[in-house]
Amino acid sequence: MALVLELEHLVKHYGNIHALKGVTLQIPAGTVYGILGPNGSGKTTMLGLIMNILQPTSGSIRLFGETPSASHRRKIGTLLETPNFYHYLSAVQNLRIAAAIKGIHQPDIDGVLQRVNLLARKDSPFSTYSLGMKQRLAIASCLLGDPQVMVFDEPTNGLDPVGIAEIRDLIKKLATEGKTIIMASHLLDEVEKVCTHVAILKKGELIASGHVDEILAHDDIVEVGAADPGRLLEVLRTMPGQTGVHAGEGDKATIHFAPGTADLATLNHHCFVHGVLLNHLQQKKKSLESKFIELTN
Amino acid sequence: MNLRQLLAIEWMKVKNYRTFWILFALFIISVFGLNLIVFKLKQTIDEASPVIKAFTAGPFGFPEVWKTVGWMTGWLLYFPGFIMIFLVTNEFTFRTHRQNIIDGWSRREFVAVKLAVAAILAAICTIMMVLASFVFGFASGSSFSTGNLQYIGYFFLLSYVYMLFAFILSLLLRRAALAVGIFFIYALIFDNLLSGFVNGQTKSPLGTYIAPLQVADDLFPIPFIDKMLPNRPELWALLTIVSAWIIIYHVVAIKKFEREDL
Repeated sequence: MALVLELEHLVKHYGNIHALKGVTLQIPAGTVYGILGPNGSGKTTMLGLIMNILQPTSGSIRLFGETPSASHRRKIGTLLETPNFYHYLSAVQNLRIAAAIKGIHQPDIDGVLQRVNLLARKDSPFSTYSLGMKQRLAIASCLLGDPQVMVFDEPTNGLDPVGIAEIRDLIKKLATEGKTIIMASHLLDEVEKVCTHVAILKKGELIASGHVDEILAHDDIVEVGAADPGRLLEVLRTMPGQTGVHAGEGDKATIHFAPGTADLATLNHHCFVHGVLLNHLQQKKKSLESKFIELTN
Repeated sequence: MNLRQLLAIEWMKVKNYRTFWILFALFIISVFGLNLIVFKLKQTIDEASPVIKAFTAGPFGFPEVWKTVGWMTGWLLYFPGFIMIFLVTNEFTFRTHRQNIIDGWSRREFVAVKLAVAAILAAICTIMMVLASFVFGFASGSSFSTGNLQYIGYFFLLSYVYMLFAFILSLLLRRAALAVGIFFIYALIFDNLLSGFVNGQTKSPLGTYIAPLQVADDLFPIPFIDKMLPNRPELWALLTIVSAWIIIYHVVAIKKFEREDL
């Protein structure tokens, strides 16, 4: 598969602050690639370097297999950090400027405003927009010229729950149209719902990258209880398919299975035939927050 | 992208920007207003003393009018200077200097079109100076003569130096209020103070040569009292230093914007 983006040992220092410490990453065409990390982990710095608004300290960047230039950026719809528009101009006037810079001759401005539900306010000055509307306009601007690659930095920032759902649906729809989408987010849940691939940044270092199912996979965890916790642990350890058994609080224990393989009935049956009667049987959901903290700490 | 396409985009930013039109209108009104006030004053003096009037057409007659109107209009370059500052600091305030690059301008294109805007503003200032010179030249009752037309060129250089100075301040300071304040106070007071002080201390035109705006101001001798002033700087030196400043401003603007984090 062709590579849209290649980073080689990318380093960025701001004075004494080492914002990016040698990131190497490849993003193939047709993926929805999440860049996941807490605030200050270097996501925006990385995207800023790719878009040439920051100068790298060292390392190299390639876009579409070539040294990045302005003409590559014209082929990418990018929302970086905040929506940046001329406050005294309307949505339409702002998008005309963006389209002209991108070299699009007949931009479908009404069309992109329609896709983000902003058509009704298209002639209002940008300064009168709410935060959510500004964010929608920035996304509309990314859609100009129907680019094959889009970069979204925190795309659901400032949106209400309905807006968040709409934008996530839009991104998923863009993905089904075969676009490559690079999306930075500090929301694990968002990356999990939208992305096919993920790279995890922590304090400027890439700590993991790959398919979402591999990187963000979490074990199925089942909590069980019985009158004799010692005997319970012995029996659990003989359970086929388990990936870990841990003693829990009181007379309870937890047993882990590979993602999607826990079967409570089989587990109950296994314990029963080995003479253990369960008084507690519950599949646990590992919270996304705890997973995120585990990944980035 | 060629310069015409870049300027077309710049025009989209400017044409609906109200502050631009207000400052532009104020500039035009001031050019004709200030010259008119001085013109009327001169007329009053002439009427009181018909001997002087008979002797010369005065500073508003051709060909002296180019120097007189040029010198006075030079005092009004704050208005287009403010326009320049707002057009540049707006980009930083709205962070559109980043967005323009993200959307597909090169950093060089971003600077180049602003330099072109500075040149266009200087050209507009020059056109205003020429129009005002014609109006007051003919109003003084003198007939057109081709002398002193080089002052049209000098006025363009003067205006361009002011616009570039405003541009560099905006690039360095990024904030409109700060840039406007420093531009105004520096151009009105400190630049003159610096050159006057050095001139006085050295009893030479050295101060003129080292003050970045004064060197262009001095392309126009002070009307009415010029003959009384000592140490008139050399024209070739003024033109050389003005050209050097113009080149320095270009290089600094391009290098700074191309190298820094935006």
